[in-house]
Amino acid sequence: MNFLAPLFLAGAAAVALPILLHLIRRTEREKTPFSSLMFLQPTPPQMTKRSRLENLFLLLLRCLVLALVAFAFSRPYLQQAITPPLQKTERVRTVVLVDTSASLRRDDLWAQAKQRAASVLRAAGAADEVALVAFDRQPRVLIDFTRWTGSASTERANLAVNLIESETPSWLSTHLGSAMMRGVELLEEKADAQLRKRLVVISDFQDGAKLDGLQGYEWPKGVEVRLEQINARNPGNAALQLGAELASGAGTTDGSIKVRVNNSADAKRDQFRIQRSDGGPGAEAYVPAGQSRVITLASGTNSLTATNGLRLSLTGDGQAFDDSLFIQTRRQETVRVLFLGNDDPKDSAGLAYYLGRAFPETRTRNVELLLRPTSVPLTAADLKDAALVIGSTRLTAGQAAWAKQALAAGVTVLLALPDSTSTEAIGTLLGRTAPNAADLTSNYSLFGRIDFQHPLFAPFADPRFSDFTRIHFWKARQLSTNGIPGARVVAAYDSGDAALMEIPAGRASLFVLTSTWTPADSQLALSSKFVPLLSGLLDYGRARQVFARQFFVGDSVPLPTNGVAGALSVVRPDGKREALAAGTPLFAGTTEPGFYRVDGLPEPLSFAVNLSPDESRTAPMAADALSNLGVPVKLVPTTLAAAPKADPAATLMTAANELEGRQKLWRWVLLAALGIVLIETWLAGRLSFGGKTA
Amino acid sequence: MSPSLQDARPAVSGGSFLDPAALMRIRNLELRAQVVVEGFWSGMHRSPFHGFSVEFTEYRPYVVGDDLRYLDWRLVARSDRYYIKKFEDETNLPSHLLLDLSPSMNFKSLGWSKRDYAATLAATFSQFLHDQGDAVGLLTFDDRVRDYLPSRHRKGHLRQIMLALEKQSSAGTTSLAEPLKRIVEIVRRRGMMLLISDLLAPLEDLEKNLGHLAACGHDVVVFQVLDPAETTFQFQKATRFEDMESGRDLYLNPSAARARYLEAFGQHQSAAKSLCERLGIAFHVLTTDVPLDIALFEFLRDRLARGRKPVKTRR
Repeated sequence: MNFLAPLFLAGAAAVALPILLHLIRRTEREKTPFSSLMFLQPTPPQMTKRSRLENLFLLLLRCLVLALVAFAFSRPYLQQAITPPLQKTERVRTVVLVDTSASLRRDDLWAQAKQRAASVLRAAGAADEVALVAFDRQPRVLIDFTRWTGSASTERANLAVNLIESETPSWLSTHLGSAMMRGVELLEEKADAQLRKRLVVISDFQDGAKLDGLQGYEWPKGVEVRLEQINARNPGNAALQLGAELASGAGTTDGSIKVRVNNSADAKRDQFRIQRSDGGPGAEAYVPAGQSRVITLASGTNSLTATNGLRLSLTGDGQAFDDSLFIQTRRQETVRVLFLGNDDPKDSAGLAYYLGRAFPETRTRNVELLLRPTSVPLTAADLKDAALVIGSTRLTAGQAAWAKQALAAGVTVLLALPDSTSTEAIGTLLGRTAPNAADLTSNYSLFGRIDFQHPLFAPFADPRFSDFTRIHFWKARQLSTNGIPGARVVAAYDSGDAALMEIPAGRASLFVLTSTWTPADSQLALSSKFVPLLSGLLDYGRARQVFARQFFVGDSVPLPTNGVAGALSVVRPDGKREALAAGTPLFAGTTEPGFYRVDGLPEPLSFAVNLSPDESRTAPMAADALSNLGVPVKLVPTTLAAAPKADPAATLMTAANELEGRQKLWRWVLLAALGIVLIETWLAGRLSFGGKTA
Repeated sequence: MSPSLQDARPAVSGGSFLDPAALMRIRNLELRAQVVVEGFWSGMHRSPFHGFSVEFTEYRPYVVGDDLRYLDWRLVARSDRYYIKKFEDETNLPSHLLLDLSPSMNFKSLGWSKRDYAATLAATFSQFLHDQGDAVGLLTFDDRVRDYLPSRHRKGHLRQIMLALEKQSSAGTTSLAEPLKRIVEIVRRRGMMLLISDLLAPLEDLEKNLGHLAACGHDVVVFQVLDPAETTFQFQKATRFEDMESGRDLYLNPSAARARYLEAFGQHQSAAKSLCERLGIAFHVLTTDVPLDIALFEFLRDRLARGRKPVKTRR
């Protein structure tokens, strides 16, 4: 039991008062009326006799009340729960996490962060272990415990400080959650039980920081978290964000550009101007703090084309790091879907009827459906621009052979199985014996198990869209996949038999649906899932060839590999060329915003990289955001003056203050005192009433 | 009237007196006074002082026009001379009761206060004197005169006196000087003055005013009414003592203060007594535990013992 204000305990001396009053006042209060005092002289009061102490219980209660009040005022708290403050004798294992995300480019935040980090590093004792981790989108260990303890104790701090000095804020977003988890991982790694574990996070704790992963993360016991928040001198920030159409890389039909202007909640300004790099008309934007507005920029003289990017600049918000928005679009592409079969596209009982309606035109894609009945011979020219081949398994030998070529060329093939006998084509396509098939005997089947991890079904993973129970399969077949290498059941019926399976073949995949989408066989074509499924199938095949144009800093950019001869190189926004090894499928060097150009392709490919919109949300996060996630937080005041130039007494006092504030024992003590006062009042009333009537 | 009241005293103290406690339980003051006086009369009937109030004084020769009722017929029969029998007439003795109503009179250590006792005493005297045919007046006072009823002997007057006596006592302090001065001014006709007070006030002015009263020819009798507690000061508990008149209080340990109190009180009493003696004033001390008829007896005995007749007026 300790006290925050032990001086108040001296107030307990006031218990002498009721004792004295019981000695004196009890006798003084009674007055004896007498006719005249003319013959009387005053005599001094006597209080030496113990027997004068009447109503001992009452006296005890009164003393207790005073003692309790004094006790409550001294703000007691229980010591055992307090985490002992830093003491020189104790060894501490500290992980210092330093935020290097793009938002640190504001004002002098980075200088503050370095200063904080340096003071924490220099405060470490000789026996302490410190690891220094910089983080933005990924945590990067600058110094681990081994290196720290391995270097001379006098040099450690300097080494670490030098390392942090050499760092600069990146253009990446803040993944605070994963960084903290990595910090804890480091702390727990081969940890000595005697060591106190402490995680120090130096960051601006912006609203846009990602805390994913902390939800549901069981925070290990004994890890103390200290948050050191640094604040910008000029709060408030506005940023541009692409509208949904442009974000997907699609151009706009009329050349107008829709951008969203977000203004942070702590902003002091609300009037902004948007300018465009092509000299086109800019726009004024009025956005109140904490809100966002969509601004439409009229079509300029040089409207967006696939080759020319457009850069928009926002002025008027005072923070420059996120004021540029880079826009790159792609042109509409024509892709072909071939249907192999004799079905009349006007016959709603056939397969082709539904395909004609499954591929609406979008800004990036125009799908051309080519019907190839058995009467029309297939040529190699048909493969040009083909993205998807669809048919039933009743293919002729020629069709099957052509489909096999398509697979080899990287075109996805989807075959529907209209009966249990025509599995020959599958055998042909895969170059092996035809698998056995049988009709399922139940009245109808439903999708029983769906692999939502598969790219085809991934868009349906959200519970809002994952209901496939309305799709009945009246006629379904059982196809044995035994022995087919790489076959993957994407969806299965409730009976457990495969409904849709993916079989890798050639450079592409063969999808086999063990039913069809005609109304006679199933409700698939009539369901809302049909169009997205086929669209997914179209993109599934083309994903390795069609590329997005808009990325965020840190994203890996897929590169074309089809028909690429030789090594590629990427020209970065600053003009530097980065050579890539031949066949590299991904470009991971998007370290800054701007336009990137990929050279070495038959057709030049440009893409735009922007700052993550989350990084522009620079208002400080809610104070309890971390503690709500179960992080045992201790927030250090924001001003540098209060930076932890640890005065042990002050630290102890702060800890005690917090502990006392949590326990609030004084409330209970005062409550007890109040209760006793009530008892005392009742008792005193009873006694005095009894005295009068006696 | 040779035998003195002294002879009657044994019979009185033999237990036939009214217990003050029993008397004080009678709520009605008039009734209380009647009880005392009637008891007193009944005692008198057994005593040799029958006819006390109509006392023969002298003969005078009959002149025409005298009331024949007063003719001494036996003398006429014996000597054939006509004489009118002249009686001592006390009925016209104007007496005034001066009653102290100051707050100090409210003190009581028994079940009744000095004021109750004094009022009963005054009522008893009123009843007694009235029954004798005397005119009785009343003057109540504390630090000044409160009520004044001139001495009369008529129907209803006694009732008025009783009502005045029953009035609650008022505030103020015991100050004898002012009321005594006033009564000298008011009452021109010589008569008897019965002062009933506790005399718990400085005696400086008392001598002058009582002397003035006596000098005016009034027959002054002082009844000092005291509570037994005032004469003995038998308090035990050390408490604050509050002066009933001034409200002043004083912390006292009675055992320590008793000796000094008794000494001072004794001095006061003897001063008062000697003062009265000097002025030729009858001084009676009555404590509230003394039966009232004793007071009456003592009064009468004293009057006879002093050898003075009440001031008489003739019809």
